Amino acid sequence: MAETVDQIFVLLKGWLVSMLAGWCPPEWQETARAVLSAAISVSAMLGVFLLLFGITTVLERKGLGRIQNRYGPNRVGPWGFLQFVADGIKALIKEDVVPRAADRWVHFLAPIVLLVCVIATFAVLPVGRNMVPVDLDAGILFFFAAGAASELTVFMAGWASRNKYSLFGAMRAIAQMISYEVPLILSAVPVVMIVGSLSTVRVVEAQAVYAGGWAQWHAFTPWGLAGLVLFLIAATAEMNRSPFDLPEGESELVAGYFTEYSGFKFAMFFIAEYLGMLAMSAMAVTLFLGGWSAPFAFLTWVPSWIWFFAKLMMLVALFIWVRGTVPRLRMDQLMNFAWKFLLPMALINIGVAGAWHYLAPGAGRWVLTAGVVLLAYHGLSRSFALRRPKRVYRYAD
Amino acid sequence: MRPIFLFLAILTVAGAVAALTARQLVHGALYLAGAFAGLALLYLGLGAQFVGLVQILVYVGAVAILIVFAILLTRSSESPQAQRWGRAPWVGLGIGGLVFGALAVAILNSAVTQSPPWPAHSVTMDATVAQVGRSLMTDHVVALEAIGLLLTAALIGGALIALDEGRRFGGAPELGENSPDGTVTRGMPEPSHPGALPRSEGDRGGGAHAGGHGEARGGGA
Repeated sequence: MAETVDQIFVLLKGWLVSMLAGWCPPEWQETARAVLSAAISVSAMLGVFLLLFGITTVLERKGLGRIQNRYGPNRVGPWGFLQFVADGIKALIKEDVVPRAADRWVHFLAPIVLLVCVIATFAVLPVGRNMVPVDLDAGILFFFAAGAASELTVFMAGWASRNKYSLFGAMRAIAQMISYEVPLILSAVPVVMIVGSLSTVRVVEAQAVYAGGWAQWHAFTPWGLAGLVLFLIAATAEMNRSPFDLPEGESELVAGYFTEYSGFKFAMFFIAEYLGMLAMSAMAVTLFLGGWSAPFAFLTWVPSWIWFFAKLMMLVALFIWVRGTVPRLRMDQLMNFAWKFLLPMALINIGVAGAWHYLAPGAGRWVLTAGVVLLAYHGLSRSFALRRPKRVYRYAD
Repeated sequence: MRPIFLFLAILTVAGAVAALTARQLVHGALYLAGAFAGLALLYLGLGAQFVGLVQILVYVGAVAILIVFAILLTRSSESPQAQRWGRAPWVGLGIGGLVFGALAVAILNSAVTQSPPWPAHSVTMDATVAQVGRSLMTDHVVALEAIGLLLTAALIGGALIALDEGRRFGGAPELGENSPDGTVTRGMPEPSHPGALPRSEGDRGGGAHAGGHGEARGGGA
């Protein structure tokens, strides 16, 4: 019974494919099955994650409202939960304004390419047991490659708008994304080293093993916990969310690189931002938090997809919490943090993961690796604090 | 396979030609990114997942952005009047043709094109990432180490050049004064001009000597 519930979507897809392919002439069977299988996977992923995007926007606005001691949206639908539908309709019927001086084609292409790149990242995310659109041999690499390709679109948007605030925002965004991409990828390297595969499915399977009732999640090891924290910080910066939202910087730059976008093109940036957050959270879950696996052996009867989406929404809640409570960084703090703290920390973490692999299992391994990680954290943060030049206010004093 | 290859080849070559002939430098950079992406898709079509994805990660994600940065930082993006043809286009065309010819001759004479038992489907030739990694770590480990050394040296050299510039030009250039010797901190140069800032120096001095912990700037970070 539990097995059927766990695999219900896989069974449903198989049934749909065989039923629809049955209507095709026999010589087209194979092609029809491949096309149908791809189409069903893609539409299921798109539908689920776009719905999740809508719910996340409402949750975020309600959460921020709670943090700022006010009601969030509470008028449309039950408890305001249909607010995203109203927002979507509003974005669709708004006028699409393009500045006269803008580079029309690049201005038009930027949000589309961005959305395509972000949606492509969902192709390799295993959302449940046997539930992954494409099991690529180099899945993790694919995820980061698609993310890296989206950086250029931010520049396209900012440059094509012919607006100095847009261009400032784009330059900030590129500098920030390039800088934080390095610790982001390096923090994922230990996982690849330990698992010995770049496939997201293998990574989750390696963690869905139980010893003494506990799952072997990477986050339950010293290097895994450090990697998870590094990954989450770098991911926050990579998706330009507060406290790293300098590219938008509404108090300085109007709205940064999408200042000159309106109507549905703006909505596309918005969708891409939130889908990017969901994809990054899903990748963090896959790499460090065991993907679709249960934390304890006695909880394995809960369907795998419930675990995945529960963990995903936990991380989304964390991001909302951080956005509501942490103030924005300054540009030089942002750069120093990436290059002088996150990058050395990620490199040390790679070494720690290597040591973990070769040391004999036991308490000694735990103490040693955790000690190195903590020592590195302490030393780096101390030197970071000490090396910080004395702040001199020339005009503000 | 055939129509997809043709489509990608045309995309790549058209992107490269457009990058060369674009009047707007930024447009040229974007076309070049398109050509890079087409090349990556060609690699993926050949079953070389690792090379194709790294091509996107490095070339579309980093090199194209580096080019854009170079354009924006070295000249105003508002001056699109780049000349379509250089002073000696034929020299460039000649060199390009020579390189193309040499490569074509080398490929046509290589063992790949001369051995007749050529598999009909290239599907079986998928090189997994594990295979690539193993061969990099065993057969080609010397080359890998050499490239690693070269890149590290380049990285340190870049950091040193930036460090030197910070020392030389960092000290309050807007005041029109050379910075004094070693007082400027690395990375973030401070306007070390004691005469201009008597108040803040005095204020902060007391706090810094008192231990640095109880300052209003906040600890940890």
